[in-house]
Amino acid sequence: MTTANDVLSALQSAFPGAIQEFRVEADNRLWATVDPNKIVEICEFLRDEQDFDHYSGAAGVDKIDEALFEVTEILASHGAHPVVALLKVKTPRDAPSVKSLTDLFWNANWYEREIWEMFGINFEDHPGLYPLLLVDELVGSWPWRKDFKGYPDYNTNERVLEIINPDGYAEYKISPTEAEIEAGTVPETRPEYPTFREREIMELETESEMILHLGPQHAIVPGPFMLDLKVDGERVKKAYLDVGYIHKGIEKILENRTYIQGIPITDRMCYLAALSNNEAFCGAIERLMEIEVPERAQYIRVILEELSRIQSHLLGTGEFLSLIGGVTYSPFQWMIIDREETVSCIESVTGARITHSFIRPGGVRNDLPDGFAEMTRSALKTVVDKTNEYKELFLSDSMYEMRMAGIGVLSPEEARRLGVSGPPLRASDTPYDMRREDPILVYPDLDFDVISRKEGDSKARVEVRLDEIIESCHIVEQCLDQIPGGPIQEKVPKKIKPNPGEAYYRVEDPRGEMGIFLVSDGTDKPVKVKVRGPVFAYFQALPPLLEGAYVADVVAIAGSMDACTSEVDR
Amino acid sequence: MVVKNFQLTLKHAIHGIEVTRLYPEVLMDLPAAERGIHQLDVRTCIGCGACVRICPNDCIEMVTYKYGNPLKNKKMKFPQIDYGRCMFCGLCVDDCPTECLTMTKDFQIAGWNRDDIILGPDDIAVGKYSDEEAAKLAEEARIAAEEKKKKKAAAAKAKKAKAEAAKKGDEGSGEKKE
Repeated sequence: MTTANDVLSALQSAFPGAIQEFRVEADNRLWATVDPNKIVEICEFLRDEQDFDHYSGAAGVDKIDEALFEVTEILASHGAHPVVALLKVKTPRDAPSVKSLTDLFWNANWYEREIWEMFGINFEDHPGLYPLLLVDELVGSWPWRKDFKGYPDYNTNERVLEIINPDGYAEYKISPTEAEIEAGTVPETRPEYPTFREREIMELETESEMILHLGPQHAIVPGPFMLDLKVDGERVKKAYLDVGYIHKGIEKILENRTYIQGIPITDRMCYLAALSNNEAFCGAIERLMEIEVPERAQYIRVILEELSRIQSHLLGTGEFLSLIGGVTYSPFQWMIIDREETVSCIESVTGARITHSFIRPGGVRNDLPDGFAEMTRSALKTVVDKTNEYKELFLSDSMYEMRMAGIGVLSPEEARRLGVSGPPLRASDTPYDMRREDPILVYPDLDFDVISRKEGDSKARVEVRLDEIIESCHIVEQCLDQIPGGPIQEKVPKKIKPNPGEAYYRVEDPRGEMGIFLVSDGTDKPVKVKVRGPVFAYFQALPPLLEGAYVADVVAIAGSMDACTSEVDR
Repeated sequence: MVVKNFQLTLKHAIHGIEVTRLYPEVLMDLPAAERGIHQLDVRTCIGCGACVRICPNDCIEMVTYKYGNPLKNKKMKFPQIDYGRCMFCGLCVDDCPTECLTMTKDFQIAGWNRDDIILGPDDIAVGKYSDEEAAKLAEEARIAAEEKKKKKAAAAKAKKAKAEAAKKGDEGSGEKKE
């Protein structure tokens, strides 16, 4: 098996002098600062020679003390080896520019767009640097830089100019003051770019084509995002996706909270995966503090995360089946009934039904209550029985088969290229699961299968979720049998101050690979938290997947990805 | 094929799983760990303000309240919680050094005005003293404070006297030298 040291020595022999600094954190983590001029060649070498075919994301860090920006490219492999390479590129703060990796990895596109709009780091040779999450007023003020001072207040109304337009409607304009322009709060000149609507209209070629809008507030989408389809007759020729309608700036909020105060904030990224988000954040802190979680706490975490996976899959699948019109039955209500019991089990430990704020650095908040095992076992029995019933139901339903089988097929190569993870990737014959690849907690001691399917269509994606529910029940039952006694919280200082440094921690979210990239400077607040969410990757992969599909199948394809807009926008 | 699905639907309909709850007449059973509206034991609260410092949403404020224990809480400041902002994360409860702030199973907080959902110490207090007890405790605290003040004054006086004596001694020794 390739280890981080092997990758490092291969890099050093292929590119002498290009690796400026390096750190081998563990067998599966390689940190390296590389020459900015050679980043594309190095990534190409890693992709072609060392099997780093999974581009996992990129994070920007503002090192204001050193007058530098850092862009960290996160590369991993789809199962060939467990090494995660984090390559840092430094660029001066006054004229930040980094070479784009979009030619090598298709899915680098959105990550680089996000870094550009938030930090103002230019990506050379990027095919379209347009804002992704921000509103137009904020573009150009680079809000995630450390010297960003805020934006004129909309609520005071003092500087809002009311203009009555010819139609009789009032328009409000905010004119920044001279002092604000001088202080750099408001950008003097904004980048010029065509808007989302203009970009899609530019691509209309013939008279028979038209743009069909789905969203941002559409009955079929779970959160606000805009999916515009260029259709020719009944076929989708191209799809355009606009996100950022519920951008909350969670990564910036986390920089202004202490580590403990950040835990409830991470819940809000996606309430169905609140425990996984807590786990990812606390795990990254534990890596930096170099503390080991007591075994009982690890088991409690695993039990709750798997229960959380069950309820997330039940809700996601049920919602999706009602979207495509569960013709003769209403699985949404049935799955909600099953989910209630599972959520009650989680609630009896954490005290909340969806936003748990339960995991703490070095342990968990509460111990399991009396009678938890019996309660959970009976709930799991219901879930397993019912899930088997649904599987049988779907198998026997010819209408379901017609709507789902062979629709939205994602081949294994395509799925890897688009960078999706979680159930959609596993449905495309790639058994890639963080619980196996990057084992955390007590997962290595547990016996479970990684569910995968060969077909890669919408039906396979739903099947993978249903099978994962049963597999998760199996994991929870094992944990309930094996859980040892003992403490649930490692001793940590009252004020959590991780050692200066960086950590990258991945967990298997119900939806895929959730990674937290954490930079600490030794104070009680993080310098940078980058959330690498799974749904961000799904959403990016949606437009190519929809190309060539029928309009009627768009919902069947998009819904089978089980998206959560809140996590995309963060 | 589809007939089977109808069968399953019918089975569900006949077996009658009761899911809908008759809220608010019938509430569901909540676990002991439930994070609902806070409860404050005013007899043990020391007014340290740890809950104020940890709150991520800045929804707790320390206000003066007279039915507490002045022997423990000298400034008589107790937390007042704005539930319009609270997200029930429970960090304040975890951080409370005397465990006087806890969370209950009660979750019904709706009110007609914004002010209705700001609950002061009087709304969330348990074990508050009666007027006579409060007066008695206040008196005790006053006496204790006075005694402390006296002691302090006495200590200061003693210190001053000692310092003077030492000074005198110094002077005395100086004289002797001469």
